[in-house]
Amino acid sequence: MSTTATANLIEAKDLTLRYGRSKVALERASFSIPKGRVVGLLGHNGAGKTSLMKALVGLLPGEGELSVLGLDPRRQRGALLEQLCYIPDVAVLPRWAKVSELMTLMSGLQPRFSAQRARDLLKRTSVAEGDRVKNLSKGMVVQVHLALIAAIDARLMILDEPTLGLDVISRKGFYEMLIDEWCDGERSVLISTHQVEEVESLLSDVMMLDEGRLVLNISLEDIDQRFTALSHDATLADEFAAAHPLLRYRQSGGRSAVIFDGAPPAALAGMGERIRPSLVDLFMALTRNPALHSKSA
Amino acid sequence: MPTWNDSAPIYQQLADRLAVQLLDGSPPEGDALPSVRQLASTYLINPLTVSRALQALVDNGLIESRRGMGMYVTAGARLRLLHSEREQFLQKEWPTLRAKLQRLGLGANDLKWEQNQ
Amino acid sequence: MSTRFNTLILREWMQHKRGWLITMLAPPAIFLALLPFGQVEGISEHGPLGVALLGLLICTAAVFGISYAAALFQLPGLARRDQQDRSIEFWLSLPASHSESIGATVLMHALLVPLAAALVGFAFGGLIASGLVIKTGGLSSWAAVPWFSAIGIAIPVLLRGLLGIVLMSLWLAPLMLIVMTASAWLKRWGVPAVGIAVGVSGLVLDKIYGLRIVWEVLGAQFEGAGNALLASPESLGQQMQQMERTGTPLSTLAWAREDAQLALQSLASPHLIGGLLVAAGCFALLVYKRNHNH
Repeated sequence: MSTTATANLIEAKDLTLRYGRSKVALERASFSIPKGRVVGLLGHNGAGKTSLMKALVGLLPGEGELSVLGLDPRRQRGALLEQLCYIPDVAVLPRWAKVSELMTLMSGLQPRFSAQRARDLLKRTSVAEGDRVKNLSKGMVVQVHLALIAAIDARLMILDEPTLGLDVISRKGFYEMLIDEWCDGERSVLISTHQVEEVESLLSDVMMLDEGRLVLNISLEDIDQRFTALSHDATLADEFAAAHPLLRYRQSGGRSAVIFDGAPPAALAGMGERIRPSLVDLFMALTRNPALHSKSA
Repeated sequence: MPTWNDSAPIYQQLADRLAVQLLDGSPPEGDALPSVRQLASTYLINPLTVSRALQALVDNGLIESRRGMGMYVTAGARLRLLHSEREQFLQKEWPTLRAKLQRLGLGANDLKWEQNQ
Repeated sequence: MSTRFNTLILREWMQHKRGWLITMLAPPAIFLALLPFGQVEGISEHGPLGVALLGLLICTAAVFGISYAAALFQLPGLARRDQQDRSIEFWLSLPASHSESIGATVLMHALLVPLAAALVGFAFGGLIASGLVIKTGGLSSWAAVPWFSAIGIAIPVLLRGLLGIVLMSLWLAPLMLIVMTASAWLKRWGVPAVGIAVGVSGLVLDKIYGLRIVWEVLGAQFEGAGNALLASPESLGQQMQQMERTGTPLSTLAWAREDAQLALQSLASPHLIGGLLVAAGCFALLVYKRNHNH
């Protein structure tokens, strides 16, 4: 881990977040995010994603060490918010405002906001500057919010479920905008989402939360090296199961597959075909789906 | 959105797609490839992954990096690619296919090779 | 820093301007519209100048009063306005401090807009006054009024009123902020809770312990506020009556200066200081609540 201030945009060590006195939202998470990354934050509802993001922008106090853009989020919240852009998990634009009014307000409050850039980004949507938020559909409100936030010239963008309520075309537009405007090697994006398959190709790194614990923090590059996924004939299922893989699942076409953390036992390696462990599969392997869990408990 | 299957890491799948396009002559030898940013935007892939894919093509001698100008298709790349694709087919895919043809009792005359050529 | 605060003030204008404009402009407009039809009681014994002045000043006071009452009614809701329309998350994602945000809201609603209402009322006052004069005495009466002098007489009173509004806000600050804080923490039970707490504590202390302190403190605040607005209405009344008797316009400047001095002097009161401390404490509580919005 580098100690130069400019290397990592976010540094967390043993970060613990609580709700009330007893409930732990995040337990002793340690991670760092350098510049030029698109980090996916994956987790089921209640896993701690929103709490983590709130802590990063100074809205939630925590124990342990946390430094964002070199600042203490809780104590230097004002200065920090001038340098990053953040969308909380709900489309929360003031309903009484016109889009042009929001642009005026943001120009006055956020020094790095560029109204011209916002206008350009707005052109990609079907929303006009004179529209009132309360007259827009939910999807359009999200698009406006994204355009406004992306017009901030920040080094760090934190997005909590930014594509909720967007149809597939708008999501595609958002991903394009993300790649075009935000992947210049200097900025980083932290994005939490349920659409794991869709965003997988956009990410450079992934962090997985399971019930408040950081169970995976790895670059996509390293995933191929660390995890081994084997596709095999369904008749060999028992042999593979005996090796205690991370996950077993059925593929289309009557075959089965397993994922191992590390190399599989030598005997089995030859009995299957090496395939790519997709993020969705890893997600299922490493996190407990609360819905399934409660059914079996 | 372009979909990626589970056959190989995404960067490898992208490299393969780009190689197929090279084989079809796009871009032609000596010409420049689209920039990393353009490829990232077209395929909706993180630029870091795109760089990995391009590096794989460099490692295979199909493209080269010209300083300050980007990636260019090397001379003879198409031929080399054709050769390696042929090898791949003859070594890996053809035996399986031939076994199947034999099992089905299909001969050369049944295949109607002259059509679609 | 100051652009941020100004932008927050602008936000208040953008969000509430319709309500404010209606509250300020509708009453005088309606009055003007109904003027030709009704009877105007109780001012026929004054001469044209008197009617004109009454029209000017009463219009100013009425528009201000209606606006102020509306503002006070809205204060409890203001404390939770952004939470209720869910936009609080948006505002919290922008770099404005909690103090700036709450401060801008309170300043705009409780002081700046009432001041503006007084000015709007004064501006409309000329129309209302003219209407009243014509109604009671016809056009000849209107021509008989020395309008420039009338306005010259009214302006010091207006300025005294504007100063009064500012000082009155200082006196009423603790009550306004207590109500806002109670609403922020107890939502719609905030105002009733304050009323009950004050009433019960006042009655208990009074009837059981013979301590009238609650009533006295409350009374002092209201008295201070009244003084701040208009310390001695009697002397103003006397001036007006003298003007009636002699029929010539008199300067109200001296009165305004004296009255202002009285109001400023009464600022040096432990009740005011104590009240401002309570107000500051409530403000801190509002900041705390906003800071722990999760």
